[in-house]
Amino acid sequence: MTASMAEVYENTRKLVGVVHPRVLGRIERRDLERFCAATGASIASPGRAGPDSGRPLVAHPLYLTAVLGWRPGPANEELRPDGTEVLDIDAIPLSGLRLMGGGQDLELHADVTEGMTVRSEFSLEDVEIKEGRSGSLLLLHVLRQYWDDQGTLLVTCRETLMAR
Amino acid sequence: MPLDPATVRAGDSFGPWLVTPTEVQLFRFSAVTWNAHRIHYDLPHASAEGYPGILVQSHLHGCFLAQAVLAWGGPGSRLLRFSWQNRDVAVPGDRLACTGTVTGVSWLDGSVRVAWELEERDQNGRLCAPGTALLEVGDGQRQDG
Repeated sequence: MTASMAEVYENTRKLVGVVHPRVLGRIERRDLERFCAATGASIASPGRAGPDSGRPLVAHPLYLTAVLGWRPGPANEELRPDGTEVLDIDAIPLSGLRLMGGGQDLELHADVTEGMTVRSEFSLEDVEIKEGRSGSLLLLHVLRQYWDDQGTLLVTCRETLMAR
Repeated sequence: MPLDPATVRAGDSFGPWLVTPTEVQLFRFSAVTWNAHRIHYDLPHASAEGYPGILVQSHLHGCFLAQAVLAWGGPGSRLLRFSWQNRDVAVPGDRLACTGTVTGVSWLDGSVRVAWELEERDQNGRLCAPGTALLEVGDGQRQDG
């Protein structure tokens, strides 16, 4: 039985401030190139280290925060009917709710380059419950930060996710 | 054209930087970001959800705005801060126009930092994604956008 929105809100609120660390893995050149190909960007950000520069390839500035899944992912039959999976907020009890992103606010502290091993931390900064025209929804204010294997902070990402 | 920081002032603008996303682009972006949400590739599903077509991904809107302002900055430019919000949907075939207006210019350690307000609008003028950016232009070069 699906929990009511009020129950989900109460359960989620208990997790505000809890930090969830994760190792995302090694940044592969091929993945950076594919991301740029898909977005229509230059192979590297304009003017940054390009494929012929002899320096590590620099990722598109949205690469880290746009990739939704860093693990192999669930089996097809474990996806929700709309194709989504519960991603890095799997510690938050949102099962049954649809999750939508509405944009991001990024601080880009340092370049993300091929060969780095990146780790991240995710935490819920706040949660609100709102009454909209189509019913209740939760607003999840989340913080994600990413570091390289030397401990250099790469990106700080804040965003508000809507769950209904 | 070389960037003369003295000529970059609040109120200056660039654009439109134009892009028309395609079904293939949406598929490839879903693949590379490991995003299996059906609204981005399954037209009957997207229609059942009430959308006019499969939807340009939230982050792809952000990528377009980022690429537009980086194209203005040219070689050596780097985003220090960047934000966008998804206000309205876009579908393959929409002609999206990204524009930017300078809100501030500052110098730090020999680099010029240009603050921008950004907009991505479709061919009907609907605002799909507003944004902001702080762009560092380090080597004094830019391209006309």
